[in-house]
Amino acid sequence: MKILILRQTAAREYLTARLPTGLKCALAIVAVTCAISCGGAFGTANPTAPGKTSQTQAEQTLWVLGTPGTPFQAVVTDRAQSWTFRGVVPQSVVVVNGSPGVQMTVTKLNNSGALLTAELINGITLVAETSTTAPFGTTVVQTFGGVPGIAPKANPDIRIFLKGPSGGLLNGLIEDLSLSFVFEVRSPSLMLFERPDGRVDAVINSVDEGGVIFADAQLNGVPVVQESGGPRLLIKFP
Amino acid sequence: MKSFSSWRAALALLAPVSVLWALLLVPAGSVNSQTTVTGPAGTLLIALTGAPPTPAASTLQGSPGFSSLRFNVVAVRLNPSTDPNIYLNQSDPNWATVPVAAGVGVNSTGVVDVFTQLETLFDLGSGIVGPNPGGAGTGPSELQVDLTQIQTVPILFNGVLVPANTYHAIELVLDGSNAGTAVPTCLQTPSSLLEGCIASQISMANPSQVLPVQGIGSGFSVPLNGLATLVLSITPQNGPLPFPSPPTFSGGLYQFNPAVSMVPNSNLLPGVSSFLGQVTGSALGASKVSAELASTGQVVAITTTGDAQYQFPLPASVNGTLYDLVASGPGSSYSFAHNVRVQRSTLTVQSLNATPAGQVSLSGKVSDACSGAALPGATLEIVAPAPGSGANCAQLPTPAACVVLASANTDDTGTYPLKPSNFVLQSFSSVPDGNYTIIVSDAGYDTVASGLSVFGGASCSAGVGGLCNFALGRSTIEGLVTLSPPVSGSTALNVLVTAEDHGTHRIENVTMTSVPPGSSAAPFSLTVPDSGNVPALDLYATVSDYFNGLPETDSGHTIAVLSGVTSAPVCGTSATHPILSMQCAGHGSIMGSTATFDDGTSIVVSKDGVQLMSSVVGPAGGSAPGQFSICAPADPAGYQLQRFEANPPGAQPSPAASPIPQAMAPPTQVAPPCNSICSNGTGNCLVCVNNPGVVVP
Repeated sequence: MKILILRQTAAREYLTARLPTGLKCALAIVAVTCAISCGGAFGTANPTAPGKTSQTQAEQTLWVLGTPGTPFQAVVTDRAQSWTFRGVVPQSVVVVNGSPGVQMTVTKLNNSGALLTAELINGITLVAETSTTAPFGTTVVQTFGGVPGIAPKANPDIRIFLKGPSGGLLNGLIEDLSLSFVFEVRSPSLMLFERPDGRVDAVINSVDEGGVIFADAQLNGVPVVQESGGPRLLIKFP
Repeated sequence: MKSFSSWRAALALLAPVSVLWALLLVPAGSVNSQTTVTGPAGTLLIALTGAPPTPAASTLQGSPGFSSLRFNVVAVRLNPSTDPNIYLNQSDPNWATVPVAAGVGVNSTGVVDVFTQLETLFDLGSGIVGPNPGGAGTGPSELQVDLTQIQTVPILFNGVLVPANTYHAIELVLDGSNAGTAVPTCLQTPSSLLEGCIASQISMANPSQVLPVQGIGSGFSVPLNGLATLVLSITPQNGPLPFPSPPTFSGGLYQFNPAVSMVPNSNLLPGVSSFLGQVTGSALGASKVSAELASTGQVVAITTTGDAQYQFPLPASVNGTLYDLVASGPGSSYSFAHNVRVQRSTLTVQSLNATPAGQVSLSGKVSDACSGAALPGATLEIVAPAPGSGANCAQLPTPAACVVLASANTDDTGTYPLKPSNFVLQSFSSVPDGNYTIIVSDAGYDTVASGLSVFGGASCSAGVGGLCNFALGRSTIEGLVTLSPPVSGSTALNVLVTAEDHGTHRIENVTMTSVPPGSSAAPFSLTVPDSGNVPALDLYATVSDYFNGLPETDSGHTIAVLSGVTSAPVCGTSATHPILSMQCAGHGSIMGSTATFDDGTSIVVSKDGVQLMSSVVGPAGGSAPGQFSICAPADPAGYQLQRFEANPPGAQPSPAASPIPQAMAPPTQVAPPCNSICSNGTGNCLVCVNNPGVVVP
């Protein structure tokens, strides 16, 4: 608990000294959530607390954009695991604990001339962007050098769907028993957790839109937890 | 799948991007985020058009044409300054920025360094969250526009409030680090180092990436509380420099030095660009009005009403474009109109008055009837017959006279509507009392058309237990894809297998399978509607080849086709186990023209009676009237080319002439070192050869 108190103190000082009022409120909620959940979601329940491990690479965000409401199917793969999912434009995707190199193949699932765009963003840099307007058109984005092929399906396949106000900025922390990751995404977003170690939990915070966040977690295609709340939300399973 | 989706018509018209205008404001932030307007303002609606280079205008271009030419547009900016050097001062506070429309892109609302903040909050230690820069995960917003697609009808970019002013400086902002992609046809002269039908990145010749708009004249005015329309035309060739200046090797950058000009306003319709038409009228009881491509449900734009009136500047082709208009509002019925023809420089009056009505929120689930699994991404549409049409919207395929009044999608749990969404305009959360048809569709599944009765509550005649939960049937086709020669190198090749209704290009579903290195075959499993709904299907398979490590849209392998594959009864597997065989053939391209064309003309490429792809033709008065450019594998078996017409533009295209055979010239073989899309086992490289001068009747 001593460590926790130090963290809270640091957070308070930071909030007081540096941040605008609105953001202070939002981040204070995160801090409070952390304080409440330590011993639960973060901290003592895990053999490794956040901060003991590092996020080793910059967040890579995959976007499926274009005509809102356009259904699509996507295959996301890196060098270790792959995931297939269906969704609707717009949708952001983040691979947590991903291996180097990522590729996303997106196929439009209707006969319309709607626009479907795939983007790969490394940090704030747009690495690749491709589009299609063809019926059931397919488009691919990948990191430089690509991947040798579609990796085996993720097993266990743990994914968390975040549905806040569309376009709203969400941030937070997601972890398993070994690793923790800070993320920032725009809603709606899908978090794919590669090779999770035991249980997974996350705290999600709505930064700029407020409102209710909906989070669904699936394990091997089966819904396991559904949570809603806001402007911050805690989800953990199994 | 929904049968009245007019796939080629949409291609021939425009790619709808659902621009909401006079609705949204987001806070200011980075240079390309939308300006916050606090003072006197007016509404500005921006559209983009352009034309690809004239085919074979110059051998300096390296290639005689382009099958696609895409640019990544970030924003349009306007400044009232008369200083010609204002473009050098991008931080001038008087720049008003119009970003990509919400949902189409993601508006950057400024850099928020949450990583550093969270690092501190959680006492993670400096740098412990990794090399995440401030704003990571937000990224730039861009609209990728293809000049070959927007030459017929402009594409709406965005509509926003900007300060009411007269602007003397306007600029188009492209992504400086990734300006776009060019796919040339095969080159005039085959080269061992420069392959055709390969996607290459475009770089900006102007390192500032600022593209000043020409033709502003005495200024462009946005009236106080009024509406202004701005159509920008992109011409890729600026002055004596050829475009695109080709790279010296495949994978190099095409140099881009475009001219951007303002399309002048119409003399007949003051304040409206001559490339647009305008619809206006009363809309009693409505708070918003959407414009959809007729009979498709594809929303092009939405506007809000004021004083029970609405006005819609809308893109129009030379011959006019058909729209469906739908008005809705709290406590009111829908009001809608079908096949409203919008013509350039013409004002059309259409009343959309609603009557008071109760409303309910409609929600439910969509699942697989065979497994019970939830279906994410399914589409639900509430439709009603156009006034006076007498159409039976419960009939499949849905008659064209049925208008889509509202639409929704399912989420990851199969639940509709998606929650919460700012982008759905005619919401399922407020469906007025009345009797409708609700159409439920998903790729690979049977489409369900159900009666929907809304009076204080909702019931669905074809829903599970009368509720508005739906279970969709399907069947399965299992087969094999083969490649010759086997996959070389260390990268697997992905193969897309597509199923479409027999004799049409109405696609039902697509699946992807992967052929590992060293292998020559891979199994596939494809979900399709059952035999009671679609008794026969055509299958085709295409390889996603790699070139210099990058996946290519255009394949160097032949396209395997199989016509008339029978589907199975519901939940069954087809007795046919198709084998789709592909060989490395190298790239090819077809360039030609048709003498009979309008805005609804397209050229369809088929093989053995299976429709594979299509291309629009250049519009009259454009840089390539009646002409088309298509990249297709150099299949020794050749193809059939056929002219299709959508008459009027926006209607379902149908054959307008007999097909003609099209042989493909074999690719040139060059000795290594060289680049090639695939190997035929000889050790030589296959270089793309063009097939020009094709005349399609």
